Amino acid sequence: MLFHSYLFALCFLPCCLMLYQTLLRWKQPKSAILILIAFSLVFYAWWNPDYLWILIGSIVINYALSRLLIILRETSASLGIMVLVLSIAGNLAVLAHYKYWCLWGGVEGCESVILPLAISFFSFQQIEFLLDTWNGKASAQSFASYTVFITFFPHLIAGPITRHSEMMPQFDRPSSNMLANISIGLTLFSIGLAKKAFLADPLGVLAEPGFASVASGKEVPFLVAWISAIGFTLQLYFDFSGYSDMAIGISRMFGIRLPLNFNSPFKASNIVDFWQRWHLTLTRYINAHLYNPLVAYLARRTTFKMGAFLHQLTIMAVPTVLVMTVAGIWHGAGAQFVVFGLIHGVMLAGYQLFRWSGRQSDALSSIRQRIPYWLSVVITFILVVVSFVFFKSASINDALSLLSGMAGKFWATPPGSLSQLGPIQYLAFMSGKEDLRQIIIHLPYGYFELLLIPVGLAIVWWAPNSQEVLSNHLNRGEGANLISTSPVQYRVVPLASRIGGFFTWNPSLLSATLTILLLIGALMKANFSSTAFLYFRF
Amino acid sequence: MTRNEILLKVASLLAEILDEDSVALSDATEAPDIPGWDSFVNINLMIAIEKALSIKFMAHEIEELRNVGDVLDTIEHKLMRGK
Repeated sequence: MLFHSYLFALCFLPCCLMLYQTLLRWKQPKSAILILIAFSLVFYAWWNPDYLWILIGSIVINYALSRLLIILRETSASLGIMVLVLSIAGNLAVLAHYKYWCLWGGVEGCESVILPLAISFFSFQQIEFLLDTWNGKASAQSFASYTVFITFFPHLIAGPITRHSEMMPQFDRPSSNMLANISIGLTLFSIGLAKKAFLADPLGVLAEPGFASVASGKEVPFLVAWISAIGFTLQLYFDFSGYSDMAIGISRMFGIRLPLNFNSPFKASNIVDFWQRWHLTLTRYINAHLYNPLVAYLARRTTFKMGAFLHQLTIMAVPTVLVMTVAGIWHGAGAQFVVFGLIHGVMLAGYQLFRWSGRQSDALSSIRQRIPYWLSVVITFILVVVSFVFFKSASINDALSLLSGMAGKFWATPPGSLSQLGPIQYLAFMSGKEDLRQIIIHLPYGYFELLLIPVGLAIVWWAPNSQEVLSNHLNRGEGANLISTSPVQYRVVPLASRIGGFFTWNPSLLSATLTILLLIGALMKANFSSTAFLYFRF
Repeated sequence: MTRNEILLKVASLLAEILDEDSVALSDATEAPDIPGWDSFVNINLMIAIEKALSIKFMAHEIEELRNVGDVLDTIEHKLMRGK
């Protein structure tokens, strides 16, 4: 069931919400939780009832393992560690089986292995739960409360990835402020739906021709290549952040605050900054369970004696590249995802080394300070656009073909000819034309659709984001921790805070009317040309 | 070591990592308050504290730190236990 389907928005959600809130009013929190679980299982089974048993099986086994770990914690630590390692390996093995089966030796009929919806997200969350249990951070609780923590339908399919310690206190002590929660939740839901319907889906249409061309072996001219790459980058952002807004909004209607997933990623002025704003709950997860332990391990075992640069290289570059490559491979089995991860790993490590060298050398540091802020934002954006070409393409060759178009390898095919014009010939060709419309005559879209690119860029660079709009009503939330990569802990950028006062949402007749209009419009638009969310395939 | 001495030690270690002359920290300081204090700097700071004070943090302890006050609490706790 998709958040933007009529079935979900007009029937499933209102029914579930009404039952849940009524049961809470009647002081029946246990039944309310059971209703949530029942609706969540229906929500999951709607996609494919046969796969429901994977979700249920995974929950039952992991819950049993967590009980075993609680016992072993007190009795036999070494056996406990073994159980912990084996159970994490087991979760990862199931995930790997569904994600990479086709990759392992071209098994006959492997196409029939469909990736069960949400398996990455519920596997990650359960692995973290086992670790938290072992570290004494997840207290003993009932099977029902564990099940609602995993299956709670707003975040079940594609996150945000939540932590037991930030979720369960909220279920145990339900928020009584029902009307406020529903109005804030509905506003956030409408904003997310509008991102999906009015921006992500049309941008996807704009991005498609270029990627389709390279997939069929055709080269793509300069402008089409850039429009495709930027179009996809914006599509992915609006799609995933729209989904996240909707998930956080729906959850808020039930009085549960989910951690934030995006904080205006394209306002980032360097690549480290970008990852502190993009898919925050995954960044937090990876930091906590892969990156930090790896850096700590290496830093404890190396010293400056080996030479400052080499030492920095070891503890900066090695873990970063390794972890980003793993994150890339998680997105998909193809080599293009390895390249995507590698690019980001190398960029992150490169930036960290650059910054570290800047601290050692005044010359470098002054170069760094001389780059204007807007330029560093644009450079970061372009690097991300280039990396997302690999994310979107079906293979490395397709990605390289599109990138060669972006590099300006050929610009146009003159009408009635098959020869391709390079930049110089193109300019010569153009200078002979009086009609400037010839420049974009080969674009497979109309002028109106093209406006989406500048509009999208203006929004991601200058508009306040959804949590800034609702900043009066979203607290910084539970689960914030010291490092700034943590969800919900961020500083509002000055520009947005300056114009934010005007856009800041407060309950009023006007905001209610605007929200309802936005909701109706976006819902109709989404159902007119409905597509699934991009992150559902991970 | 008094709490204030620990605070000064942490501040000087952070300043060294960030290559600043000094950084002003208080219990309420959070990472985003200090420019450049990202996840890499954070984990390096923790290791530097470990080496300077001969203590060791567990991975999950590092995850739970919310502000400088939490860091000082954890260090104080560890130093007490060590005695």
